Amino acid sequence: MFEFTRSKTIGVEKREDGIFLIHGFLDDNVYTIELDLGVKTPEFTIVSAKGLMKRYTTPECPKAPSILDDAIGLQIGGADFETKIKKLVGRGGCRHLADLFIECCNAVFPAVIQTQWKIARSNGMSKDDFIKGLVSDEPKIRDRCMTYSRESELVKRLGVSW
Amino acid sequence: MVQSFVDNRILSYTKNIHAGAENLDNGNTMARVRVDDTFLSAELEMEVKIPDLKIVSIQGRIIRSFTEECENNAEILQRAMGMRVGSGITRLVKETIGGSNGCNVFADMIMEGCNAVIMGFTVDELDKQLAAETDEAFGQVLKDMLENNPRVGSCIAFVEGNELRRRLGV
Repeated sequence: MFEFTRSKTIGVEKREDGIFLIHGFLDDNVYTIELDLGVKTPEFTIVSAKGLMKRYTTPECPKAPSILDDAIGLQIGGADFETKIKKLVGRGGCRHLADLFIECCNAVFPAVIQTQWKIARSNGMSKDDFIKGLVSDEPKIRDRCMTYSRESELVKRLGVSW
Repeated sequence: MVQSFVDNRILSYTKNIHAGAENLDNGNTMARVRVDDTFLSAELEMEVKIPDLKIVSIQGRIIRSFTEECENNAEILQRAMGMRVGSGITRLVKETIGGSNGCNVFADMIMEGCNAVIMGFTVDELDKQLAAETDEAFGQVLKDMLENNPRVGSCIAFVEGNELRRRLGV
């Protein structure tokens, strides 16, 4: 029997003028938390953040989302972004809300890629050519993991170097 | 008036993460993690020895991914053998399992599993504490939690001088 289970669901929708709306939902034995973020691309700046603690452990917990106003204007990415959020939203509010916040932020970049891939595919572009363009043009992808490292078979096969 | 158009709000990306921890007959804890998103599907299972909290077995696989190469990365997980679920593991997992010589999907899944194991202990404790049947008893539970917990400043509930602390006289 599971002693503990946690589910996190993230959905990202693209709105007009480069704004992505991210809806996050966390549900586990102890907490139920909802989060809605707005992120402006290509800057990846947080433009809106609203949260709701629906199930929690202390009477202070529902106040945690008020800290989200301080996250508006932050830019997603960079080496210390997660640390910054853990401190700001986690220590200042709730670490489970911060966990969901980071998960929502991490969903924006794949959503942008998916949007680009959808357009590329409908224009007849092959997946290899799309990945080649992505690795060539997008520094965030390069050396992100072993699949997109300069030593990988994929990168060598596609003939990309940096 | 009949609506003549539907605003297109189809999601461009979705992600579902499920993590769970269960106690095994041998006294250890098993964490299971599953991730499904627009680009990939992956699963992970890791056994944590109790009470040392060391990872004693781990396996996983990437079932579906945008690039087929990702599906051959499971051996990376063996680098996590012997790691202790405790202070410093976030950095260790990011550096050892993730990064340019690793797989960030598996790194994140290990962290989800670690969190499930730790939260498993917390749930037991909270369940006992929050079983108070009167307001007075619940107040005492909160007071004990705030007084005996070393996590001052770890979240809004533990901030020094907050309303809850003032009300309970902590």
